[in-house]
Parts: sequence; C-alpha cells; structure tokens
Amino acid sequence: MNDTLFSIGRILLGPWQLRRSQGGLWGLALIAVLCTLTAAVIGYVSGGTSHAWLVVIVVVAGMWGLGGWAMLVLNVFPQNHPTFARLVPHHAVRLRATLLCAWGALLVFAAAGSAACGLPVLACTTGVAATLVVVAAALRWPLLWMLGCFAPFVGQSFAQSTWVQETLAAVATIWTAWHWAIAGTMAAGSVAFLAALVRQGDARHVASYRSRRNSDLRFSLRAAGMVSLTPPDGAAGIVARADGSAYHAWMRHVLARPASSPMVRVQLGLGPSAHWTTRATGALVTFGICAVMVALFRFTALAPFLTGTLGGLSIGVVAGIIVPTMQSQAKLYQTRREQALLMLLPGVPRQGRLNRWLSGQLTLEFVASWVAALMLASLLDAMALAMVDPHARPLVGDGRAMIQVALIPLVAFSWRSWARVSAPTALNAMWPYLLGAVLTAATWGVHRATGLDYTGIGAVYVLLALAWFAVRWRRMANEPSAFPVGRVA
Amino acid sequence: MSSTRIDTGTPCVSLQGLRVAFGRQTVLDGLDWALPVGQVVGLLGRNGAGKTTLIETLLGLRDADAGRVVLFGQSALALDDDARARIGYVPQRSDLFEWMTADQLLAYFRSFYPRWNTAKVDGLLSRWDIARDKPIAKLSGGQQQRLSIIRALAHEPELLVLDEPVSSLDPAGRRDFLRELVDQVVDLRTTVVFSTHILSDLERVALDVAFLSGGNIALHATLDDLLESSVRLAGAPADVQGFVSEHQLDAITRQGAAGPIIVRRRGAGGVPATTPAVTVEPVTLEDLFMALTE
Repeated sequence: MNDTLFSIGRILLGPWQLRRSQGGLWGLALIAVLCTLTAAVIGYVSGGTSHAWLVVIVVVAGMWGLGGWAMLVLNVFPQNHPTFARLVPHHAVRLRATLLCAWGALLVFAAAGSAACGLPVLACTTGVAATLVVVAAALRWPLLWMLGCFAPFVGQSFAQSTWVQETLAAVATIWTAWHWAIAGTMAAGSVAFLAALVRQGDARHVASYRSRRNSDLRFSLRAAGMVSLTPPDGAAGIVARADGSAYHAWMRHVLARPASSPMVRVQLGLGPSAHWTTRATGALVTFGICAVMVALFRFTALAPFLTGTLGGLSIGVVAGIIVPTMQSQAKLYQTRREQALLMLLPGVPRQGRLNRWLSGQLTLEFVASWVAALMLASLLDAMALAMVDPHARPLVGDGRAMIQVALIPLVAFSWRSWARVSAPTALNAMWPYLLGAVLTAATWGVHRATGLDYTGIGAVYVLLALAWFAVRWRRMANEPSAFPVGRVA
Repeated sequence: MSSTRIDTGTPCVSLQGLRVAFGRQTVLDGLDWALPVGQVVGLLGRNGAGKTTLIETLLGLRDADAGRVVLFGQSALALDDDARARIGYVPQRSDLFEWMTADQLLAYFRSFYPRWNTAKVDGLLSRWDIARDKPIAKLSGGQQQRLSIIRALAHEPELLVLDEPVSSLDPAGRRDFLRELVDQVVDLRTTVVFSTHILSDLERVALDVAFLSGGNIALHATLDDLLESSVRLAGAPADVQGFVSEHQLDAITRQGAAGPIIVRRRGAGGVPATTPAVTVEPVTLEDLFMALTE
C-alpha cells in the first residue's frame, strides 16, 4: 500500500520535476504571478465584496487545477512507455490510479467550490468531470483542438439556432428528472475513459507511442521556429519536406557552382532551419493559409465573421513572419555540431569577421521579414476589403502598424555574442513573445501619451537600434568566434 | 610514473599549460603535450576523462581557460586557410549534415578544399558500400561513421584527429578503416591522433599511446616499448617493495592500490626475472589502461 502511494506521489510530482530539470520553473512562476494579478484586478473590479473575492479565488484555483490536470495528463503519456507497460510490475495500474486520484481530487474541489459560491453542486461537479475528460481527450488526440479553435467563430450562431435551444431545454428537463442517473453515468464513463488512456504495451500501443513521440518532436521544433532536419517518410513528413524544399533547391544550385562564395556555402552548412530560404517559404505559407481562410470565410456561411476575423489574421501574418527571425538561438543550436566542422574549413572567417558576418545575416533576414510582413499583411487587408466592401476603412491598420513598429527593437536579438549564448530552453523561446507584448504595450503608451504617430515612434526605434548596433559592431571584433554557438557559455 | 614525452622533432601539435574547466570541474589541468610530425598516437582515458575536450581544444573548437595550443606553428584559435586545409577531423558522433545525401556532403566539403582526392573518395564509397544518393539520416550508424572518415581523409590532411572513429563499426569495418589509416600514414606521413576504447585496434595501428588521467597526459610512450618495459609484480608487499627498489623500477599502479602492482623499467635493458619471493608477469595494454587511468 505504501509503495503504491509513494508511486502515485512520484507520478503526481512528475510534471514539477520535469519543469525543474528543464529549467522551466521561471515560466511557471511568471504564469502564477500573471494569474494572481489578473485575479486581483477582477476581484477589485467586481466590487471587492467577500463573495466576489471568494468566487475569484475559486475560479483562479480552478484554472490552476485545470492547468495542473493538463500537465499531469501530458506527463503520464510519455511515462506510459510500451516497454515499461509490458515489463514493469504494476506500471499501468499505478498510472491509472494516479489519473483517477487526481481526477477525484479535482471533483471534490469542484463540489466544495461550487457549494461555497452558492452554485448547484451536482451540476457543477458533473460539468467539471466532463471538462476534465474532454481536456484529457484533446491532449491525447490534438486534432480536437482544431474544433476548439473554430468554436469562437461558429459558437454564437450555433448557440442561437432553434435546434440547439430546443435540445438544451430538453437536456435541462431530463437533468431535472434524472440528475443522479446522468451524474452516475458520466462518472462511470469518465473512469472507464481515463483508465483506457493508459495502455498495456501491445503492438498498437507501440505504434501510437512512436507516432506521438514523433509528432511531439515536430511540434516542439516548429514552436521554436525550426524545421526537422530529417523529415519522416509518408504523410507525416509532408509539411517538413515542404518547409525544406526551397533550401534543398538552393543547395543544389549552390553546389553545382563550385566558384560560389564560401559564405553562401557556410550559410547552407547551418542547416535548413537557420537558412533564409526556409524563412521565405514560411512567410509564403503563412500568407497562403491566411488568404485561404479569408476566402473560406467569404464564400461560406462564415462570411458575417470575416470583418471581425481580419484583425487577427493580419496580425497573425505579421507575427508569423517576424517572430521566427527572433528564434535564432534554437535554430543555430540545432546545428552546433556541424558548426565545429565548418570552423575547420578553409575560407571560413574566425572571430570578429565571423561574428559580424553572422550578425549581418541575421539582421538582413529580420529586415527582409519585416518588410515582407508589412507587404503581405497589407495585401491581405486589401484582398479581404475588396471581397467584403471596397469602400470600408481598413479595420486593422492601426493595430497592425502598432505591432509592426513595436517589433523593431527586437532586431537586437541578432547581435548577441553567439559564442556565449546558453542552450535554448522553453523560457528562451518565450522571450520574443513576452518582449513583443511588452514593447507593443509600451509603443501604445508612448503613442497615447505623446501623440506621436507610429511612423515617428518607428523612426526613434530605428535610430536607437542603429546606435546599439554600432556599439555591438565594435565589440564583436574582440569576442570569441561565434561557431560552434555557445562554445564559451 | 613517467612524465610527458619530450620529442626533439618539430612538433605538429603543441599544447602548453592547457587548462579547461566546466564550472567547478577542472577537466584539463595544466596539460603539456607535443606531437611530432608523422606520429600515430592512440589517446586513452576513462569515460569523462576529457578526451573529447582535449581534442576539441586541440583543434581550436573550444577555448581554454589557460594555456596555449599551437598547430603547424599557429595558434589553434587563429589558424589561416592553409593550416586548416591540412587538418582532418572525425568527431565522436557522425550523424552530421543529416539533411544532405552522401554525394551532396562530399560535394559541399570538396568546394572548400584546394586539394581533393576524388579517386580515393570514389574507391572508398564503393568499397564501403555507401549509397551516394541516400540522405545521411537514412544511412546506418556504421555507414555514417565511414562517410565521416571518407570526408576527413578526402583532402589528404597532414594532421588527422579522430574521436572514437570506430565505435559504430563492426570488426570487418574496423579492419578496413585501420588498413586505410595505415596506408594514409605510410603514403603521406600523416600525424594521427585518435581516441578509442577498443584496445585491440590500438595495438594494431598505434605506434604511440597517451593516457589521459586527472586532467593530464599521465604517460606518453611508444606502444612496443611500453609493453616490453612494463611488468606485473605479485608477492608480499615488503618483498615487492624491495624488488622495485633493487631493480630501480617505476610504479605505474597508484600508491595503496590493492592487488599486484604494475611497474616499468626506468632505463634501457631487460626486465628483471621472477624470484622466489616476487613473481614477474608480462602485462597487456588493458592492464596498463586500468593502472594508468584508475
């Protein structure tokens, strides 16, 4: 019994241990601070009564519980390795017990929280039970998130339809008459579903485990702005192969010309993720997806939501094109072992010359992406407005201009001392997003406080960036060679 | 224990007072080492002894905290193009440039070097059965390692540095590789440094061995001489001690270690014979490895 409890405790602490070993506790701390601040603001705005504070505390604690549940489920999947499931005694049983214990504890919390807030306990607890199961299912089959992404667009029309209204009324009637039976069925179904999520190591488990691990790897690469160096065969590798197709075409072109510049070849040696051709492909794909979505909205029943969606799409184009240029740390780290060989090649510069060349390349890529984002987002606006109403004022012009200007200072990421950067972590990957958000807020603040338009603020940012670039350019001359990246970290 | 070997020949590689630390852990601690031209040295050391760190620092791929590395008379951190064209390197892991095919990889590297032995490359590719148009990621570990070796040999380097080059090869592959290495050394008088854990390979090809232990080269000697001049002594501790003093032997086994001790003759001449109190037995390279890297 003690062994079982100890094992369950260890499995429950798994997500925490994983975060700690990956150096990601700062990210958790940041999220905790943001959640607490949000709760404090909501509590203050809602009148500051003791009941309002209680509701806020219960809701925030519930969100923490939901986040913890998601982390636990995500941690249980890799732990449920087919070999362990087959060979380690009680492995599957203890994983199942952990999931069910956590699920039960959250239901107890939901019951207590709803009672404290004066809400119907059974209905709330049943709703929470179903939500936890849906979250676990969505983590197991990520395609379900796609439905969640479309929900905000179609949810309103769906909720207002007669059929849905009638169904909800019927459900309410049935709930009133059979609430215990429904709650019991939901509980039994949830237990059966959660138990089935942990598998026993059969052939299907082996195949699904491998496929999941590969898709997780692809997702994490993509989140860090990288492409897979070795795309898998078949349908799974289609996107990765498309990402690298321009790079491979360029490589064939360069290798067919032995007289090409050594630095053009060095750039190739840094791999597809860090190459400008991949950024160009990414920009075109981002624009293409947004254009298809605009067309989809325009020519389907979703047309009424097009104008409301344009802002998001346009900003998505800007972020989707510029943010990858700020993820150089992970992209350069991906090929640092190859960089060791590059450093021994004749014709490859060292120290100051190499540092300045690399920073220059990254700066060029940033500027080109910035200009491309501006052009493609404007094109998307024009296209969408022409489809909807040619005389309408662009809905997103100001917001997008603000974000685009706010991103200018992030070019400074290109001028780091690359020999000294440490291995990328999840927190590193978040910096461009967090700084982008902070700079956007600051840009808006400066605009509101001084009345300076975004072009003027952009000019100031460019001057500041140039001044910092001049300082770094001088220092780069005496810094250690950039390759392999992180060699003196 | 013998000190670092001092050779009178012009060194191709020279390391002086090299110190490399990772945080509080000192990996190389004031290391001095010199490799004359044309020498073939097997670098031995336990896991984590710092062999890869030493190799990377030697090539200027890692900055030392103190000390100096000179390759072909130049600082390893500022080698000119001519010096770099004379170096071949096979890193520990060979799954590099996985997104290229074997042909693309070789074309890529060929474009940088002023000299490239196409006939040798073609011969080795065909003899070692490496598919030219297959992505490197799809080659087996052994094929990737062979390709890495071909890449390092193709420009006929004068200094060849190999970090565990045969770890993924089967015995036939290792034999092929060693034959190629010997040819290279004989034909071009290449200086070779290679680290390995497979001592039988070392005995086949290395003329010299260097043992890395405690952040230093504990011993660098000619392999044949080392095996001839070293013996294992067994007997009562007092008898063994007396035997060592009488015959002026240097202890290789560390002080206080349990079991028989391994000693080495100090000067020229034969090793002493067994006496009634002390048994003298020949040693293998493995015995020496265990004693020197303990």
